[in-house]
Amino acid sequence: MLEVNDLTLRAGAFAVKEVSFEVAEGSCHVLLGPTGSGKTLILESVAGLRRLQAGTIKLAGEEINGTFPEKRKIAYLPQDLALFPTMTVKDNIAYSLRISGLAKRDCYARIKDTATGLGIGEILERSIHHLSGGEKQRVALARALVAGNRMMLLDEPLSSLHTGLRREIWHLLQRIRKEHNLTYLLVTHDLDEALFLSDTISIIHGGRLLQTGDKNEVFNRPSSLEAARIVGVENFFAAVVQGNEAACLRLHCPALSASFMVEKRRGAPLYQEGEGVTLGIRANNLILTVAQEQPGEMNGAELVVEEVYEKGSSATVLLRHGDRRDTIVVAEQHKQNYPVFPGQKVKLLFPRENIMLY
Amino acid sequence: MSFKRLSITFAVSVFLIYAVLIISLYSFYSSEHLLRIIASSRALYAVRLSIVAASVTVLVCMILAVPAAYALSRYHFVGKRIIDTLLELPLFVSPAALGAMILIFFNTPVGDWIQGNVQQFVFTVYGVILAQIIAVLGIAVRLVKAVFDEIPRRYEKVARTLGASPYRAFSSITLPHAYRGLFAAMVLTWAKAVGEFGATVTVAGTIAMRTETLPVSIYMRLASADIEGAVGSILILITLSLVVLYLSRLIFPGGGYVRS
Repeated sequence: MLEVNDLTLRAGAFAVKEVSFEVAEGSCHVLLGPTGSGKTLILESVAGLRRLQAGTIKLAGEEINGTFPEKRKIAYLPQDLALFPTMTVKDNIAYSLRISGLAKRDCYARIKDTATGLGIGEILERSIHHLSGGEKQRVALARALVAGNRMMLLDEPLSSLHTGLRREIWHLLQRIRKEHNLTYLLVTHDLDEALFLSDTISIIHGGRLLQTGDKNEVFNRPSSLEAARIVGVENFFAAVVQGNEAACLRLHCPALSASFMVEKRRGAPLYQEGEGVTLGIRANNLILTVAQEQPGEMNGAELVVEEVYEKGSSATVLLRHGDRRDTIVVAEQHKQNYPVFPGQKVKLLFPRENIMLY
Repeated sequence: MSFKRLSITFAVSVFLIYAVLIISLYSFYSSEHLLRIIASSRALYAVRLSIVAASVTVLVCMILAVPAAYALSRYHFVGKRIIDTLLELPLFVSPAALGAMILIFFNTPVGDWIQGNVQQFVFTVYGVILAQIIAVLGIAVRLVKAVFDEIPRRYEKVARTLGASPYRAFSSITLPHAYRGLFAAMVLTWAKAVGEFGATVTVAGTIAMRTETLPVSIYMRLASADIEGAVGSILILITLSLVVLYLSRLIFPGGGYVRS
């Protein structure tokens, strides 16, 4: 439905360069990246609120680079939702209908169903200054829905909500997307939000596209070190290639005094013996055990527990190798498996299928 | 002395400076004389001319200031910084100099043609209005720009994506949002115009019952050693300004530029 090709633009000293991605009709595409990476600029370009220096934006196969925002039929929900402060809830929702020249009475009849469907049918007469965070979200969604736009640009619209309400709105967004066959382009730096809502993800960093594709592919196979950091990989260690076998690479990691066997992935670069690489692994892929003897010496490191941060049924465990305090390993541990305590010697296993190389 | 008390002392001191000046007027005050001045056709003419000229000035200034201030607040364009700097000209250049600049302009071929074929400004009521406009326009634009600067652009952006043209987004979203601030800017511009003297006297002169605004009237009475008459005109001017400022506070009790 939406195709962005080589999108390039400048805002002051910051530039977005050659960003390309596609969003299928009825799907949710997330632009994921840290604050200040250019996600909002991309969103505003798609909305027609910023002029491109180069590149094309196509909606339903038609180039819309020169189309005014009011003609694009693309709804935009900024971070603070921008509900019009001089209007009541119903006037906010009916704004697009009023602009199109519909009489006030007809507007209010048209918005009733949408408002009721979003659970705000009872607050239509209220001033927007007297709404809760959740109600504001619903009013903004209703306003966009009533405008009849089938593409919605959501710029971190849930960032100011507390966790419980955020999850409630996630479900609401998914429900109305299916009910109205909407297409979302959503900006967030929250990985949980991205994974819950998205079908596809683009990782943006420093105004550049690092990776785009199916969310599971992006999450499990980040294409670069930066992309891995953005999708939440916690552990990175420098290592040296010691052996290059048919299906595996043998690595040595001096900081952990450990050797690893790593599966070669399709399309991965050809590493040479003696070449330096960075090994990455998620905290929840590490297996922590107090047993000292493990079958096979590969992919295991002897470590000492530094700190344990309990989080209900699980715990985040920080570990170090010997006296080295410069290399800290983060592991997520179900407390029922092996209760550990600071100072305890443990063995950490790195499953070969979960190790990423950069 | 605590910081709070010290700052309140300064606030009271500022009030006292003006209070002492106002109270000192009573040394030359007699209610009988004041009533006679107020009822005089000359004073009534000065009041009427001051109100009418300042109101026309505000109207013209706002017609020019609102779109100009919006452009300065919202858009980037060549020469924006120069225009922005020029707006402060009336603050730095004395009103008499502004008036002299207007007189010099009317001595150029273009100015001469305007005087001969469009409208005579020098030594006329139109000159009073023109002098006031030149003296307060920059400040009016600056005040209105401050109002638009306070209103986030994202409201207009969202309105555009909901189908509004740039003009419709401005008129349906920004203008209603700004009306308190625009009203405050109008009141301040009006007050500044009513009190304008230097440019007015340079362009329109001191012609009794013709170009005699209240400040000009005060000057003329002082020049002819009519102290009681000057005191009467000063009291009328102060009362007029205070009534307008009080009424504006009554309409928008909270103050502030932008409706939040």
